[in-house]
Amino acid sequence: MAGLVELRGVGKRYNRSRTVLDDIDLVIYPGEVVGVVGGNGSGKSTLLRIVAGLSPVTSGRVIARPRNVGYVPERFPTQARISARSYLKHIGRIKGLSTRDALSRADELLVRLALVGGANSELRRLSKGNAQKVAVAQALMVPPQLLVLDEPWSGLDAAAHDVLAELIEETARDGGAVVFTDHREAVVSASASVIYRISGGRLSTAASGEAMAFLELVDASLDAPEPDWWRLPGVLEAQREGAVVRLEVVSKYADELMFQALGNGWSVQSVRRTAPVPVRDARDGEEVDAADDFDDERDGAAVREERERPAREPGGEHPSQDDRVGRDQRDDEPDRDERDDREARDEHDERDRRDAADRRGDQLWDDGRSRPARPGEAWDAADDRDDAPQPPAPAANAKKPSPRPKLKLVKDTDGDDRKPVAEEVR
Amino acid sequence: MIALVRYSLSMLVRSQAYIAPVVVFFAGVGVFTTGGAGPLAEAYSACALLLFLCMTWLTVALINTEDRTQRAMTAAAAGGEPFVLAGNVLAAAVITLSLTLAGLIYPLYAGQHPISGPGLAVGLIAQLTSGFAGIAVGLLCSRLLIRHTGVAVLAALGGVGVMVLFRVVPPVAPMLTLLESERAPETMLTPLTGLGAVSLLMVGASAATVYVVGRRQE
Repeated sequence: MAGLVELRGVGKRYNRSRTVLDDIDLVIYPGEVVGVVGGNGSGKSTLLRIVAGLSPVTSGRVIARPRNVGYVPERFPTQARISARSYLKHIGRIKGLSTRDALSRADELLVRLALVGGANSELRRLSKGNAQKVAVAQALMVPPQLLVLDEPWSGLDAAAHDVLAELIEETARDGGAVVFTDHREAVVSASASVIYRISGGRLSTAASGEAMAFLELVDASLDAPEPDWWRLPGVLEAQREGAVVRLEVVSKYADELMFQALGNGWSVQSVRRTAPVPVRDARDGEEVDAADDFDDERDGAAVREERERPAREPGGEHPSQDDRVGRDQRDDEPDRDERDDREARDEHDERDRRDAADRRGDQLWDDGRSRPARPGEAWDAADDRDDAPQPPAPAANAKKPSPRPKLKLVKDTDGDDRKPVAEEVR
Repeated sequence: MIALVRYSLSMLVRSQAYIAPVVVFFAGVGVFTTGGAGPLAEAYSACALLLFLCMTWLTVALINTEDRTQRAMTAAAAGGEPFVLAGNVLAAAVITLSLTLAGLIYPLYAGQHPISGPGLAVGLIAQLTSGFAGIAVGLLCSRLLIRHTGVAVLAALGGVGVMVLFRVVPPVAPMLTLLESERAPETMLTPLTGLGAVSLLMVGASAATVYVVGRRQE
């Protein structure tokens, strides 16, 4: 299936300052609801502006983008004296509607979103939430092929939350794609069918449903070798402030990481673990062949977080992409089938997680034996595994397989390979 | 495109930012042309100068009615920033045409000028030329390129001053010199048309500059 939006190797930097986005690959298909989660200043708004065609890229290419785009900014702080209804009328006409149709659609959307103060209120007099409703309405004056929403829930009341969720679902059901951001993973998980995490300008698949660990490491020796934290297994976010490195890590990788850090001169300052985020399956209703991911990665396309679930058809363990089933179709099935599906899917998910952990572990410890290194073994960012087959690691930013830094174990001079010592490999 | 022009004009009207420059224009035309008795071209030179000033002001006001965020939404609805920019330029052209007609007709009633076809043509071309030159300067001084209002005001005053005072800078200063030369209107038409073409080219160049430089800031 052709992507409605395709970004290849996209990078963005402003006025020679820091890189906002780096080598982003992203493919969005019709009917998908893509959630991008990330903290303040992580680059998610910039990514959305690029997706919407409002910001040029510094590097890479935008291969595909539909013309009919609806864009909702994070804030709509207009000082315009024009009324909400008149504004929507103009936007409708710009999108090709007649005046009558534009007004009719504007009234329908404003009633549905329950604009407080009435449709004839001036935009400058609207509260943040009501202005946001107008912003949402203008994006939907004509059902868009691509709906781009930047933190759309901010400022909306509970009722509008539900309406917005419905509007997003309707857009996807009609064959449009939706991309939205939020800094709250639970919010993203509640609406998205595909979830990405953006941090430090890089896009990765989110660890939905995973327990997380937040680590603070200190370079106690002041000369501890430092790996590229981003490329270590399970690391979703890394920030360095002075001698302290703060890491957000998938919990199951945290122990190995701390073990390694301690062995290489780092001290663990604090550890905080969180329970798994109770989220709906990010792939709810979608089936994807695992081999597709692998092919995508080799082809340089974005690899999306695709969770397998068993096919309903007997013998169809790995249904093809053409066999994807929409969420609404699945909703129509009997509850019993749904429950069976969910249980089976959970089993698959667990197996996938174990496999992924094994694969990522292989990449971390480069001693050829897939076991954790001992304290004292050195970090090493060198990559000598280029010729090794790359597993389909769940990374969105996978134009080419990312070289992972790893520990290089070498035999001791006495030839005892059970007693590795650190050696800096160049 | 018509929808974009209507939207652009509507935003300007509701913002009330048009009032001051339009009042300045009509007041100036009234002061400088009421009771005039010389050649028609001289009366039109005053109208053209005023139109240049006011179109610079109005173009900035027209574009600045939308902040950056709202403009991004409009661009998404229109299919891209170039469409919105074209809508702005066309809306400014509509205003120029409207004020040109006013500036063309009022001196005929308020003064004692010998009326002739070539004289009216000179007035029409001269005011369109200065109006478009004002649009070109206004585009460069708008929020699309200059974010700070104070800097934009200084840039606009500087641009207008240079183009009015330095007679080697086309098209406004040479045009004013030509209109005050007391030549027969028939002999002015050809050089005025050339200056009008320069003015149109300036609008195109300014729009391209705004688009290219503005995109880098996005």
